[in-house]
Amino acid sequence: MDRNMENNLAQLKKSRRPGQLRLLFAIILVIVAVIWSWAGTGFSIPAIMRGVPRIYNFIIDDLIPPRFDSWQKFLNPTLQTLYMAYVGAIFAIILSLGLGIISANNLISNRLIVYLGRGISSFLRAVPAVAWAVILVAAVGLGPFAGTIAIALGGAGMLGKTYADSLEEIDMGQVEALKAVGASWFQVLTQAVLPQFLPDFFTWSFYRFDLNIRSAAVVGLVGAGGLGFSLDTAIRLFQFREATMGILWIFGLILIVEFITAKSRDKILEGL
Amino acid sequence: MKQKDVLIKISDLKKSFPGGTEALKGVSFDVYRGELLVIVGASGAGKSTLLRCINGLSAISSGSIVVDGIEVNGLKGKKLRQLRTDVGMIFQSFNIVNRKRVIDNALHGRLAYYGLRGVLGLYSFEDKKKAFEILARLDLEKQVAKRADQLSGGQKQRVAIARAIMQEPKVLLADEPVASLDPGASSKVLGYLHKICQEEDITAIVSLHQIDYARNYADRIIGLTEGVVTFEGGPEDLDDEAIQELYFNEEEEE
Amino acid sequence: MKKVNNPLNEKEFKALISKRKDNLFYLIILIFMTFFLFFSLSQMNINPARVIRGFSTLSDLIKNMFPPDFGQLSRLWPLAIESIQIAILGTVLGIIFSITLSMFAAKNLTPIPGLGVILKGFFAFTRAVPALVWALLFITAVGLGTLPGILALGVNSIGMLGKVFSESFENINKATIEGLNSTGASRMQVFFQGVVPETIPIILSWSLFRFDINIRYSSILGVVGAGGIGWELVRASRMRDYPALLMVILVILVMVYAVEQFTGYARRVVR
Repeated sequence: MDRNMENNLAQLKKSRRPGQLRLLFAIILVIVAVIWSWAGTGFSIPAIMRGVPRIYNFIIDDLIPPRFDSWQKFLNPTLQTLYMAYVGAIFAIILSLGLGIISANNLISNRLIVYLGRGISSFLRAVPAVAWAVILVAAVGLGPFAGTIAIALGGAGMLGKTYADSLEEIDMGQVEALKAVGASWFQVLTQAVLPQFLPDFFTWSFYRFDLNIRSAAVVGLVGAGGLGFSLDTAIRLFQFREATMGILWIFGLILIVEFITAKSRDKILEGL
Repeated sequence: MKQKDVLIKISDLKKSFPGGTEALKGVSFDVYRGELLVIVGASGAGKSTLLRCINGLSAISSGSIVVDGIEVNGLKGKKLRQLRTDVGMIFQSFNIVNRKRVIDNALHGRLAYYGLRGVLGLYSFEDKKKAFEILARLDLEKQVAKRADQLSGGQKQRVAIARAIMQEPKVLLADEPVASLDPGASSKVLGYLHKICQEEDITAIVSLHQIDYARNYADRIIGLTEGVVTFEGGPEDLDDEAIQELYFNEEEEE
Repeated sequence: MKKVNNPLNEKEFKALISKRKDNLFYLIILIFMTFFLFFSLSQMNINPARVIRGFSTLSDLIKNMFPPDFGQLSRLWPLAIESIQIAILGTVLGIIFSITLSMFAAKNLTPIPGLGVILKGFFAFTRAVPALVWALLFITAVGLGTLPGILALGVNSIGMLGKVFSESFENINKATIEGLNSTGASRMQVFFQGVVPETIPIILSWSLFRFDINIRYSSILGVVGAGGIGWELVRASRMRDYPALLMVILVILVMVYAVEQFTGYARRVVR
């Protein structure tokens, strides 16, 4: 090997070193985390091995085929899931518009208010919707009312943050120009801020509605109404084929809603 | 010069930023009613800051700015907005609302007169007609119903001029209005600006860094170097020696 | 002053600047949305009186939550750890299976063309059925405990990661694969030497994102009995032990926040 080649190889090794070190460290970290979790949860290969045939048998013997004649049982819960998701989305959007505006540091000059707004959003966001549902069921009783509010609160946390982030990215030149014509704060908001914010607003709000359908389908598992409640009942009564039907309803509802929201979002965005 | 009637009086104006940089170090001059005053100077000389102080977009540190008898320093809320209706402003980056139509952008100039109706963007038919007329005078009559983001840079700046004229201002501030435009569009925009200010009898303060444009359109020129007025006179007085002096400091810095 | 004559007559001018057609479109949507809102509210029997009553009972409940029961901390702590461990194993399981399955789901890599379509349908299904429902099913099959929780998160993760991984495999440069193929590399060699290195940033960032999601899910899996801290939520609320309920929520908050900080840091390092 000539000297030049040796140099090149040394350089090649050097160039790879920092990245490789980091990669090695990450791999070790993941392996340690997996072993730690493995030991902690009592996860074991034999348990999986025993589990797989049981799951297989459960699917083949108990779940399939779905009891299609029970479809009517899930019609009302499906509609209720849709209502919860929709009303929850509207409430969340209204709440988050206020929250988003006070959390945007380019619209509010008072730092304290901005921190407060951001704090409320991240608190609402960090508590899962199902946890909200547990609390609300305790407070207002079983049924979709608790679920709706739980979904609204969880959604407001996410939308409050995303709205604020979008608002902070608008072009402030347009805002300044309207301030310079003597426009009031509210006029600046609707005439300069809103036109720039609308596309993001619609994108995030529709996305939230999609997510709400998923949340609405599970809050019933803790008694907050909708498909989750019927599904839980069916499984508790060992009516597994009915449960499969319920799962198909959830799948269908999510697919249909995602299709409709995608279409209407595109339609609205292109009209803006 | 037409009249020697003072519209704006700036005395010992100082402005420093939170970081400690002193942008304006005691600037004093008068602006006469009806004139087109050009402020020249290198970038960073304080031209933008000076203009932004006149309509209160930047708060001044000390000194005084009197616009048509009203002290700008310390104005707040409604009184500040009232002052701003008398002072139109044009920006280097146009700052028109891209997602609104051209006519809506022109009508933004009337917002201060509208209150809640302005929040909803509802304007009187008279104002809409007036907006159309002004846009037509700027040769934008074919563009009125287009969205602003479909326009070229020069057209956007003309929309911004229309918005400012809709305010019926006493004075128009233009902060490097052609710095983002190519030479062809630049002289066109400055031509429109000059013409419409004359026709409407509006006093204009225009900051420029191109000397030849300043010579072409100015009634009077003020030169700014590092926050200090270093030249004041007619366009004929701005000879090579004066230019050398104006831009000398910048070269030394580099 | 120079006057410019309006080149259009009044009617033409009004038509030119009118937005009536656009406004009508949005008005119809707004009316429909409002109608559907009130319809939904009435279908769920939600009315102002109930809302007011609900908020007063809710504020009573919140008052009863304070101060949080810090005495529970020593008991809750191990359960929070268990939730994190469930999330780790569920995520790792999901990543391994989704990468493997994506090899067969990506149009440009799959050995059997029809398989891609079937796998993508499988991804869509596992993604659409929520993690908590998967947990419920796995509990029925293998019994209560952490195992159904891990499996539920794993299966739900496969749905999402499988979709993004197979799509990112499909988007890689065709020349890379052809180049490696021309050297006589085997299918596995092409995958690990060509496809994986090109898509590793996408794989890492989505895996981290999925870990964030799984932490949130694992904190509530317990409500159906799939391990972790979630069961404590249900237990405290059933026993009307509201200070304990608040403590559970605080622990979940700290857990979610801590993991979010970690993944945020990891994401910056990856970039």
